[in-house]
Amino acid sequence: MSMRPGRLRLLLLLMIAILLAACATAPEREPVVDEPAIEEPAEDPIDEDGAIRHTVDNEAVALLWEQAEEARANDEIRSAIGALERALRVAPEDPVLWSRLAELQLEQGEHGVAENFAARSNSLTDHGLLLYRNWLIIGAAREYRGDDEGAREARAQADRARGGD
Amino acid sequence: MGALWQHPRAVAKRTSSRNRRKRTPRRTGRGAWIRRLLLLATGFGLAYVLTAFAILDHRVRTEFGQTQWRLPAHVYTQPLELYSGRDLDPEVLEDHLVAVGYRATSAPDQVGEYSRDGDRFRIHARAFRAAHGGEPRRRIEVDFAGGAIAGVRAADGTATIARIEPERIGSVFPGRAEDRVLVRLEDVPERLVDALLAVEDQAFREHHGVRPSAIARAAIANLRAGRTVQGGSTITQQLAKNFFLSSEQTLARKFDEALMALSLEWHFDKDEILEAYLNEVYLGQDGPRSINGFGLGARYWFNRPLDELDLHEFALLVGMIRGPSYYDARARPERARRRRDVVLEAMVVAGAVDADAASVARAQPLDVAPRERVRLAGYPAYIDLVRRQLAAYYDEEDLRTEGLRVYTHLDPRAQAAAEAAVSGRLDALDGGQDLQGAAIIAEVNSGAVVAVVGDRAPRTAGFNRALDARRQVGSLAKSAVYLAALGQPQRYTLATLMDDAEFSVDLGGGDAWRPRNFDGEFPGEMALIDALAQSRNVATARLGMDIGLDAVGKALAALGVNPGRRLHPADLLGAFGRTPLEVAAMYQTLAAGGFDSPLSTIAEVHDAAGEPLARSPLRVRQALPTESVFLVNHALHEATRTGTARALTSLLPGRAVAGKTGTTNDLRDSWFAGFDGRHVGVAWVGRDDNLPAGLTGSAGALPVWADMMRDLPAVPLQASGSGGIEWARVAPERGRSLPDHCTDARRLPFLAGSVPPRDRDCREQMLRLP
Repeated sequence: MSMRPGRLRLLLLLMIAILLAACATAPEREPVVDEPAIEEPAEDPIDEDGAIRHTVDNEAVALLWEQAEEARANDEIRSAIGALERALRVAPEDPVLWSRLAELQLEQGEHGVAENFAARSNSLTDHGLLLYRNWLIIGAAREYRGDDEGAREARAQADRARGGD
Repeated sequence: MGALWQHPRAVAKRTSSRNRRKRTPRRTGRGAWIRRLLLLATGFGLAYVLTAFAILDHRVRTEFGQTQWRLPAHVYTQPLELYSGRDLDPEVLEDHLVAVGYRATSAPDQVGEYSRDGDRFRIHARAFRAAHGGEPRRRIEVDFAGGAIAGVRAADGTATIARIEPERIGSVFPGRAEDRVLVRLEDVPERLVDALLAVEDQAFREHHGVRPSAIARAAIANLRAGRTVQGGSTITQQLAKNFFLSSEQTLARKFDEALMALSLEWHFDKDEILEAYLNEVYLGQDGPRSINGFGLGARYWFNRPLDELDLHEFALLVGMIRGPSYYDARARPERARRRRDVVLEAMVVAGAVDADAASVARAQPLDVAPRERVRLAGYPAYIDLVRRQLAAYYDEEDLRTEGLRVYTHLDPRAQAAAEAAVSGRLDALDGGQDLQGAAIIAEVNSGAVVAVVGDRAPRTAGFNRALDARRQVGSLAKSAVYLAALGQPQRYTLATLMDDAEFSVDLGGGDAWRPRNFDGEFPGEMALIDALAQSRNVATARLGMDIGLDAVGKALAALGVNPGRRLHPADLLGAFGRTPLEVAAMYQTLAAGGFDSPLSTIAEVHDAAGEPLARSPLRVRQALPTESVFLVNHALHEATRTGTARALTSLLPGRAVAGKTGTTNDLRDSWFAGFDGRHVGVAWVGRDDNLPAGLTGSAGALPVWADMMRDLPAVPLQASGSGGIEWARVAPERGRSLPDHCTDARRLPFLAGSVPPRDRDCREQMLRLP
């Protein structure tokens, strides 16, 4: 992996945000995305294949996702987590919600929680890109905890997931 | 003795003046001796009284001061979430609106009003704060179609997601074991206080805790009548007696009571004492439960909140203080009515009401609610768990805060379903037997406990079987045996042939364990999936011994139910006890694909100002490999289609669920633990005395479980772990997999890489030699 993990993570997250917004929100809404962020990932091969197709058939999940994104943008992580937890009660098997929660927990410094959430997301998906992203989160969480061996293994899994897509 | 009944400061004064008087005087030698003796006796007496006072005073200050003046914590349900697509009946919304005090109007202009036009609700929703943030005050419109929400719109017509505030379901003192409907003095109607003081203690505002003249009057009246006809106790004395002392009437008790009354008056003001009295006074007996306090009393006798009662009802409540069973308004309405009218008369005499109002009140019927209509404490079993989890998981310092608000996960709809299922099925099952039951429902993903039933009469507070009945789990333990086996894919798959023929385990010392199948038959070989689905004892015991007790112990531990000792062979068939709550935790882990979440009732705790103090965030922990769990769950699903739980195909037609029956020796316990994609539920039926209940898991607990799940939204089983699963058609008896076109053959999931070698033909080819 040639990119710095931190940057990669950001890129993937934004991608998922875009795709979710495009697929899930009510049709009259414009996807809410940071302008400069779109530009950057456009060069990445992961973006080119555009493979993540996450559809949410529930309006409530889309609305809560948007709430969570807004809160996250305002650095209100707790309230973003709250909105995603509510969304999970509506759509308990949504692997993208679990993955985003994992990301937020990682930001909160809850590494163990983040790892478990990412694993939960993995258990609910066989989508290569999402698996890839979750394994990166798991790797980062393990690294923070000083589990270098585990982190390496997670990154190897990430590579496999990405390759298998 | 007279001096003892007075305020301690008065006691001191009187004694010293007496001593002065005694100093003036005749001085004969004998007289001086008697005087000295008297003085000594007075000294001892005084020392005794002062010591007693000091001890009782300490008790009053510590016990009473600490517990009584704190405001209780209020407990709430979860808020009602409204979003398009939610599986919800319009009646559930309307019930909830009414329960939280919304008024139905034709045009909801004011906050707290709603209108309903068939399937369309317009709601002027209140602002509130609860778990996961709050909601602003706003107008919303909710449409229903076909038992689900078709749309939720804000005032400007945009789609939205909304919540209605949670319902308050009770109040608890975090440190105390009873739950009461506590009232604050400023919320108590004046009329009630007037009635109380007119009858029980007219001089309440003036005295210092005891009234010697009233005691003397009562004593004389009692002597004349030859029995107790008058009390003479002040409200403060009654409070001291109710709060600290047993009800026996001895002189020593009276003495303690008086000292404590003095102490109460010394340390607390009249309003505090009155408020405590209003919450302590004994007003009736409901089976094992005593009805204390006017808040609960109003519920118990009238099924209405205290502040909605009228004069004649206040008078009746106050009248019953003298003897709640003697004046029982349900059992002895005539006597209760006479007593009520005496109270009204006393109020007129005391000037608390005018004669006209009193005669209007006298003309009223008793208006007591029939006992069966009374909903006393909303959800005693659930609140019991809330109280225990508050004590176990929350900072004691936080819990001391006054007026806490505890937001729980209680879902009134699920709770109602569970209650109806337990009491309905048990009533249908036993012809006067002593069957009991318990049930728990939790959310699969979060472990949020949404319903708890601890008794077949769910409103009865008492032995909470859901938390405290630790009963043998029987076949529920088998899931762990198969989980351990399927974790070794090179040895075991769902298609592995199992030997169900008789065998025995040598226990050493000449003892042997010979497991038997429930039906007494030993049919021979069967696929592993069927051995679990049909709950075969012998095949399971053999499997468990084969993979080893240690491996099974590990699986049980991962599911949170390790017996905590070296496993015995009989443990493979569940010869250890667990409570329904613990079993629910075990099956939650399975239902969530091996991810375990603590079963929790509490979402958030706020202080009185609405600021969050503590929250129990969503937590999951991977306890088991999700793919092995997928295989076990597939077998548990098979159980509900063709196995011991196949009755579910007719009890819950069209629902994809998974679960396990449990039956223990001699049919003592009947269990069912199962789940769908959203909820995990456990039902237990048995007898408190542990005698045989005569029910298998499928005959007793299974229908209870089916009834409660029927009322919950249908969510298909989760496919957690399916990423690492391969599906194949198989012929277990040949130990082979088959080509996909062999549609007659069974299709089973396998851990990737463990599919048996594939045959080319659907049927075994027989070589025929001519």
